[in-house]
Amino acid sequence: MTTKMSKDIELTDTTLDALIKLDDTAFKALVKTYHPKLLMLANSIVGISFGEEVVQDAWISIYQNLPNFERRASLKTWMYRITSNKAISRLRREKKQINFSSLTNDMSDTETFDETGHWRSTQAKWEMDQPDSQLFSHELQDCINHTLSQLPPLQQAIFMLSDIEGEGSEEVCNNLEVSASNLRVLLHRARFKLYKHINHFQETGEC
Amino acid sequence: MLSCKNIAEQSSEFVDKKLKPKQKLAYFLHLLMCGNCRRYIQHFRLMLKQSRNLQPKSLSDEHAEKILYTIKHASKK
Repeated sequence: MTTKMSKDIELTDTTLDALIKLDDTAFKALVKTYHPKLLMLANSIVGISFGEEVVQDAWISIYQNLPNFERRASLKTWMYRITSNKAISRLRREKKQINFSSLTNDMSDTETFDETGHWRSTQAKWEMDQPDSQLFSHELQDCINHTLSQLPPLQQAIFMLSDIEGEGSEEVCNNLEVSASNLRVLLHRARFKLYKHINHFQETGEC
Repeated sequence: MLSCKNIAEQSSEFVDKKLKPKQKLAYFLHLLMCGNCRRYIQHFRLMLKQSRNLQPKSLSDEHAEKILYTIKHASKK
């Protein structure tokens, strides 16, 4: 996942009206902004070998169903739901199981904590701790992208939808067919793993 | 008394304001006494705040055009 700050297509009522009429310019702008996001979501559920295919199917559904879009959910949420459904169906077709192994919040993390539950080392002061500094330098961004791509199935999708895209937990649960408690556990695992990698990067300059 | 490990385990619940009042009190008490955990929470929050900026790079016009063509072509079938 290559990331940078990018400006989203503004999904205003006017844009939405144009999209519902399948206006080419509006739809192309939608594809431009959302294709990478839908791909990131699909890859994180079904793996990179099927991600592109899943997203292509999702776009066709989006295009065909947009004229009937009822605006009950946001367009973004609706597109994520279509993509998740396609990815989960594809996963089932490939007879793969989503693995929820040992979903407890206990972090048996002997590297980070000692036997009494104290941090093993002092938390490094992050350089980006300055108000105006850019948190994600190129090197750190690469490290974050690498860490996110290494997360187990679903953790990446949950982190992406919840913390990058800001989707509500109800939407994420519905989209990914996970319970609220599993969502909390998986989200925290993803966050803590990412935290540890950023912390390590801040201490050593290495990912 | 919470340990630092408990603080890390409950940090998502804490920053997402999901802790019950008693849990929150215990959490704050630990933070009051532990500089390491205060720094951890400060950085954890910062990481989440900045995660919003991790947006994937937009496609080029040409690439978007190609995808649009494929979608329209497949939708006509």
